[in-house]
Amino acid sequence: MVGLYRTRAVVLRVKDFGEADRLVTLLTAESGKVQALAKGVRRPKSKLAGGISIFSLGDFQLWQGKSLDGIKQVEIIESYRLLRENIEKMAYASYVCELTDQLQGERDADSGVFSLVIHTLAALQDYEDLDLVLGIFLLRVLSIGGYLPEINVCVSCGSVVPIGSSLVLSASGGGILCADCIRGEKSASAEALSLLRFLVNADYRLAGRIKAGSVNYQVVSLLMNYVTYYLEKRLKSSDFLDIIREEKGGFKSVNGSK
Amino acid sequence: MYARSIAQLIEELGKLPGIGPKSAQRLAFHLLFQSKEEVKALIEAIVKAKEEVKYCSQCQNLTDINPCPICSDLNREKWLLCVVENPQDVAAMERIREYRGQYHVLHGVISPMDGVGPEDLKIRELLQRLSNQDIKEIIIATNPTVEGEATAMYLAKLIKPLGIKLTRIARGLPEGGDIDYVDQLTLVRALEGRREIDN
Ligand SMILES: [Zn+2]
Ligand SMILES: [Zn+2]
Repeated sequence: MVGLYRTRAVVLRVKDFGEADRLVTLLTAESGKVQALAKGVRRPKSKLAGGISIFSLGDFQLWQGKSLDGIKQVEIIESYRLLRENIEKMAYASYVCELTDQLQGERDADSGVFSLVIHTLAALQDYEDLDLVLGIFLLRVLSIGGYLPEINVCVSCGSVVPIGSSLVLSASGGGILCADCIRGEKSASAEALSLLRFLVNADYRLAGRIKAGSVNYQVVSLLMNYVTYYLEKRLKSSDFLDIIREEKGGFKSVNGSK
Repeated sequence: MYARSIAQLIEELGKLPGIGPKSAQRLAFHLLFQSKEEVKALIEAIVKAKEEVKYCSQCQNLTDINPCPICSDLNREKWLLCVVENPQDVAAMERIREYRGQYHVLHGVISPMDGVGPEDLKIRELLQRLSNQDIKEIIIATNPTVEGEATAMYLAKLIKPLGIKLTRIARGLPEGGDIDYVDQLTLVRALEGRREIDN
């Protein structure tokens, strides 16, 4: 007898496994990450084929295995198709899912990450300003992990960093530095500091409304470095995201975004 | 527990794709019970293939003659180019005997989470070819997987500005499937039903 259970989950990762199977990393609503086998899914006539796509949200029926659970059935709730059909959106969504995969342990109790990921994927699908969405996501992730950078006072001397100062974010220091304490660190504009302070309390609906342009690019680049520092490793998907972000605009704006 | 040399053989075989611990054990014992000559022939075939097989300077397919037989076949259309993921896909396309153009093998697909980006594929070589040769149509025949579609989109972005007609094999292929597994009729239809990419 095989034990069956149901769970709502989002597909973080799909990897070819064996001859015709795929290994699927699910982020479940109640119990963190679960690795599950999708048997025979690469065969054209598989019932599961097409149902198990990265980034999609569904209700899964799983069987319990000795070392690995398996996927028996899935009913897609939201496939987030656009995230797979638009290469820019795909680059961002891949980064979001890989970061989540790294941060979330297997069978961890949910700490709000599931709902954050779903809202983030939906925002990446719906909005044009992908950097803004990613910026908000990174700040939320840092906040859940207890690593939210200090953004009001200088982490070196403790003095208040006033509006209009340029932004210097020190990952090792855990927050921003004032003009007196900068030691060789790169600084971004004063608008970047304002945007960072604004994004900490922002939600995704804003991504459809404000226009932050290249300031966004700077802030998100800084936050990505900040996350890399705490993760102690570079995410694989960040190389491709860098290529896409640079092509799309950022500092070297070529032909605007599409 | 096995003798050290057997354990080592099992471990090496287990590194092959699609081979789990059980299959590795089965293969190891199969090899052990073969004659010395049979085992030597296998080893020689592996070493010979490894030494002689190279990338074709034209299509990047694996070959022991350069350029490969397909690239040097004068009866094939020179203006038509089909871009595929790997050598197995060239074989699948050749099996259907419908296609008479050239190929370009990428040797993989863009897969952000595996750290495979455009620079890891034979894309530079493709662009080089497009600037040297008079290609009029490119069929992108990467698998209908997420990574295959992403690669197709990325190529479209690079190739569109060159003014070359760009088509994608039709969606008749099941989503998430491998071209390698698709039956021949489906593949013929997918090729016939290719559509221009407009992005
Ligand atoms: Zn200071
Ligand atoms: Zn060739």
